[in-house]
Amino acid sequence: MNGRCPVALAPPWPVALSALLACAACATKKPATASIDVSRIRHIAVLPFAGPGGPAVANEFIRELLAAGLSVSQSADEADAVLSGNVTDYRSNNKLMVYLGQSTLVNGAGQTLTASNPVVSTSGAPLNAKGSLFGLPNAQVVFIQSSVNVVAHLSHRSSGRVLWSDEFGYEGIDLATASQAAVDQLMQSFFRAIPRPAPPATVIRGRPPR
Amino acid sequence: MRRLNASPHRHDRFSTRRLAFLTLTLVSLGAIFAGGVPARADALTEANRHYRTGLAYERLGRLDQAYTELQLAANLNPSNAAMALAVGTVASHLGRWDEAQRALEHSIALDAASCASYYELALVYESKNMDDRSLENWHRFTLLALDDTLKAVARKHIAHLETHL
Repeated sequence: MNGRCPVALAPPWPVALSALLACAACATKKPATASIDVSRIRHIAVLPFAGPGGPAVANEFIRELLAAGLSVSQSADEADAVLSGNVTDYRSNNKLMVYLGQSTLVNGAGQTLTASNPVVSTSGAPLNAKGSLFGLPNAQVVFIQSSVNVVAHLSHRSSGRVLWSDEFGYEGIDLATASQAAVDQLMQSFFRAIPRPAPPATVIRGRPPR
Repeated sequence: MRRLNASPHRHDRFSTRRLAFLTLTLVSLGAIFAGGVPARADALTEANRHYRTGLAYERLGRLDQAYTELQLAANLNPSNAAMALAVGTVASHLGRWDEAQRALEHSIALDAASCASYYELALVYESKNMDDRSLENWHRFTLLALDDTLKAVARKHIAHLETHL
């Protein structure tokens, strides 16, 4: 005996490694909001969104949050969480080509397709019109639509942890319609992560029933 | 008694007048028919002229003038779906949603396969919160569209609108 304890001296590597892996697995399985009670988030600060159209999109978020019964401010001081984001696309002049009349189009694969008044995106599949209408070769008009793309995220004010994040893009006849729809879709995603506040209890006035 | 005393030539006089009246009517109708067909052809020629001018203005970005010319064309040839669609597209570009809606609905009534009309009308209905009508137009568009990018746009709009119904 040399006085050394073999059990104490032999490092328990396999046990330590297993424990470490188990802890790591636990950590990755835990949701990001595990320690935060998201149902207690009632006051949200909406910061200005970056990018063109940011103020309009932020106003739309404020309108939707207020309509859902949440308290909203534009300062993060007293808020439970902070909503911010970017407007990555805010264009009112997306052009689509409308070929008038019965048009024969040839796609990139060389296939010939015939359609009545087809509409083609300028960035989409390469389609070229053949033929003429009333002696006008490739009679066409440009249709203009708007598009808005919004990235939004909600972070916990005190911990800074991101509680929710999503992105949505939409097209509309004008910018107002497109932004409204994009924010509306994002709010649906938002309320899947953050519970809506319960509606206030209805107070029934008058004589109580016997 | 008065009938018995009536002139024996009275019946003949009435027949002559009636014959003259009928002849005059037939001649007038003939003149109308004879002149009507060229008038119709003239109207179509005139409509095509306004249509070409309208499209030329549209290419130049002179949308007000394009709209006026295209409206004249569509009024002279109200059974042409492409002209109605052109009016609707330019009206939408000018922000005249109600006029755009009417013209696009008319173009679909004339040509149920008018692909662009469904796309544009779906967007017009969406801006007016007429979600069920918009949804119907998006569905029709997906059946007719050739462009995969726009088909994907239509499917996204369908998914969004269905959450509201």
